Amino acid sequence: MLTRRMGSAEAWRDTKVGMWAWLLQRVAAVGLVAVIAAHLKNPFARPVQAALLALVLFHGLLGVRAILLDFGLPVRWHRLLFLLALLVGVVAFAAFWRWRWY
Amino acid sequence: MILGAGGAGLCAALHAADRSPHLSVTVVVKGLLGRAGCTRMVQGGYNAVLASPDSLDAHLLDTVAGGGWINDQELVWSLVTHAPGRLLELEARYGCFFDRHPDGRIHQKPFAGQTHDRTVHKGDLTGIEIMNRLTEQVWIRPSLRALEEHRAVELLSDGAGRVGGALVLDIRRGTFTAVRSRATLLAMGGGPTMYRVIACSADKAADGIALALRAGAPVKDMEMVQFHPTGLVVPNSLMTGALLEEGLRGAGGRLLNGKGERFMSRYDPERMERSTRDLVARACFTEVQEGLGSPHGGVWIDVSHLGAKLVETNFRGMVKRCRDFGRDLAREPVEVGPTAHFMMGGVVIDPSCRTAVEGLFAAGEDAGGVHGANRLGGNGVADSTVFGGIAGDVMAEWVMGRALPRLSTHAVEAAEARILEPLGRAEGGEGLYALQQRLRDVMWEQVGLVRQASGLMAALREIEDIGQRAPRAAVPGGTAYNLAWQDWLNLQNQVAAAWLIARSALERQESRGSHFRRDHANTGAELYSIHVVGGDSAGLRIWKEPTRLTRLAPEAARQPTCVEVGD
Amino acid sequence: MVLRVFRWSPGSRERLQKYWVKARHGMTVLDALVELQRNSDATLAFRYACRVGMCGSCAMVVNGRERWACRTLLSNLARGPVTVRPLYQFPLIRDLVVDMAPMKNKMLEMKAVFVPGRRAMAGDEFAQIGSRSRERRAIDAAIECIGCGMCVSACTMVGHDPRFPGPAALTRVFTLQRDSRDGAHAGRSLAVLAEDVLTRCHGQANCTAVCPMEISPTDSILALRRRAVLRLLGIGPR
Repeated sequence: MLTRRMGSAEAWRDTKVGMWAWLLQRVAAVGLVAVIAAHLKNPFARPVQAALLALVLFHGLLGVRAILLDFGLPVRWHRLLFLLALLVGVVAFAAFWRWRWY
Repeated sequence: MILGAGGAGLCAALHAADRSPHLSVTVVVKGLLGRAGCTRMVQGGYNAVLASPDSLDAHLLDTVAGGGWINDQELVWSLVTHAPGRLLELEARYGCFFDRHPDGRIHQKPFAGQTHDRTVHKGDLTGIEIMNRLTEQVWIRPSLRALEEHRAVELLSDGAGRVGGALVLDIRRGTFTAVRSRATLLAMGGGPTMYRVIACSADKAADGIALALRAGAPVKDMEMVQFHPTGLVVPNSLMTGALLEEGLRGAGGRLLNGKGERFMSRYDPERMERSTRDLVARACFTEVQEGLGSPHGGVWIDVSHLGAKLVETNFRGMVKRCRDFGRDLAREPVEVGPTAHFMMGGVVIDPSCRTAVEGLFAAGEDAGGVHGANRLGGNGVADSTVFGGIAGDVMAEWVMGRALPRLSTHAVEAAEARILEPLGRAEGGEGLYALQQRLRDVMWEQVGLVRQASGLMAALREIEDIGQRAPRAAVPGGTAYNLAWQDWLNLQNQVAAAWLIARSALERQESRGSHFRRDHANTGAELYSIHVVGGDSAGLRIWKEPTRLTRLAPEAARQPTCVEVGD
Repeated sequence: MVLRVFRWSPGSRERLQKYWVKARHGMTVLDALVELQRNSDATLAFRYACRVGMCGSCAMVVNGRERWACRTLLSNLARGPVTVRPLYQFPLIRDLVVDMAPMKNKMLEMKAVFVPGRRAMAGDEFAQIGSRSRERRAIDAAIECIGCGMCVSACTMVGHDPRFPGPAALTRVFTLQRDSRDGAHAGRSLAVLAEDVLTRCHGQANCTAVCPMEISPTDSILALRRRAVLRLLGIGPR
């Protein structure tokens, strides 16, 4: 039996949008663990704050995408939803970062 | 034992298993269970009389008139009387879906050559639905065993003139098994793959016909091969011959030759492209033969004047099929040509699917007589499921109290040796595929849509020559999953069936249904079928058997012998 | 053009063999393989039957993506060498031929076979389900499976968890659970509630992306999951 060996380039050759969405969300989750730890040590480090905000936004918005699909939005929209999640993430990040109160 | 697993084979297996569950039934199939053969490729649908004003008598008359009056009327009567029940069985017991009216009644569409809306369908992929559901049911019945990617290479005699089993080759491993069986069904689905352009599944090779011939069971109507006028022309591709639905012509599609002329005006000025299928197919063929074809040896079908939107909504599947090959059916002419589609002829059976050889049964396209000289669209899948089911029931009863036959190991060894012979043989002489191409070319040119005595005789000589050379062709490689070896086996069966077609076509000195003789263009008054029986030593015997008009006789005003048919 | 074809037979090592094929207009991946087998290397093994996109026998992985060889034009593929491999997640038989039995076995494990219900069992009349009813429309969108196995090969979760039944089996379960003629809904509901079934789908929709019949197994699985949740809450269909 052949399996996709994720170490090989062949397995990644035709990676589809849905898989990128899933991967991005997982990677963001792992990143969040590290960034939250750093954030607890020093809440006022600017780069950590930026990373925290970005990761929370992407992870959360991709989660909302998954929830919408779970609740019955047709799967044929999933690429559009992925794009939307990314766009909303970028816009929200820019807005928050500009609005910082301190 | 059931050889073949299309609609006929699977229905037979299910019926045998349900009739007596303690029987052990083996299904032998060349490919994967449920995926081989042509039942799967049915687009159009299933003819069954479900509601008035349609009637069984009307279905009988349509089928017999369509078949040029040489059908076996008892078989046709079996077909029309069992079809509604079998359809209900497909739905209620096996879970098939068919298209319906909004109020829930089954939708029946008009198909050419029929006096009522009779054809039940599931979109334009009826065959996939039927085969998927039958396959599932076969899986869950414990008494059914499927040998996938196995093929029967020889029927084995029990020494007393009965068929007592078959020598089965495991295609994957290349090993032989001699299977003993009390009853054996041929349901391997004919298949005119000995022609250059084909519409049927490419895995077929008229295996059942060749096996029956060697076992000494008579065959009939072999000259009757149906050609469909609009097979896709895709140069350099096996896709060539894949059907484009007949509805395109019905909707007003135009056929143009290489010079852009609507050539049908020279063949049937009144009905033009809506003329009958065999006439249109022959016209396309003639244009190409006279050098008036399109660049790749076809003609053009043009539906663009109907409006791109209409074509895209009404013929979605066809548009997709063309688009995959870079052709825009909705906006430009597409190259099409005649394609070999179905063999009406086959093994002679009685209404309980028995052949003349004890222990051997036949159903579906392997059997002859149901469709006479031409088949109506929608009668094909009805035929295979109806007679498959009958065969299953009959065989389950028939084996009761019979002992498992003994087979001679000598015959088994001889057959194995013959089949293993070409492997590893030194290459030289004509190659296997060159021979196959020669066969396909001569069948297409001389034994195709237009035939005449001189061409048929030349073709017979050519076929005999190929038949001499084919067994001597070399096959490289080993026994396991060797496609060339399989094609070597296929070629010999194709040659056997090709010879029967050409020889029967020579014998029938008239034109009827799908059989057209340039030198005998008229339809004779006499109704008969041409029978051929093979055998071990005596050689082949050919004779005319008068048609028995047991239920209907042609009226004084002659019925048309050609009708338009769907797929 | 260059074709790199996966070769393997029992007892030998897996390898990609390089071939040259003269690519002609209109040629599909299947045509190229047939030409190789007939003219250059008779030992090359692959599977096909209908050759027009109805039987699902010739599914393989072409340039990293599951495709039906008979309907994939060489000219529609990216430039450069074309890599042809057998489907993933199926036992190899030889070269490009795989054993499809695991897919069948998963279907049987999930009881994905029609069982006539009481009304259907009486068998004396056709069920009356209109073609525009919700039931039929939901089923129609998911029923035309040709059993090619591409979805199973494309699914990362099938590779990850051998107990996951995969997209094809679950899609058939979905059509059966929506089918009012079927009489085995309860048993099937239990089967899909097992640990490694519905919860294992991560909604990546790789199956949906490769399905040649444009079925969306992802939709079917998510719909089954919604049914299961409603049932657990005691407010849904059984």
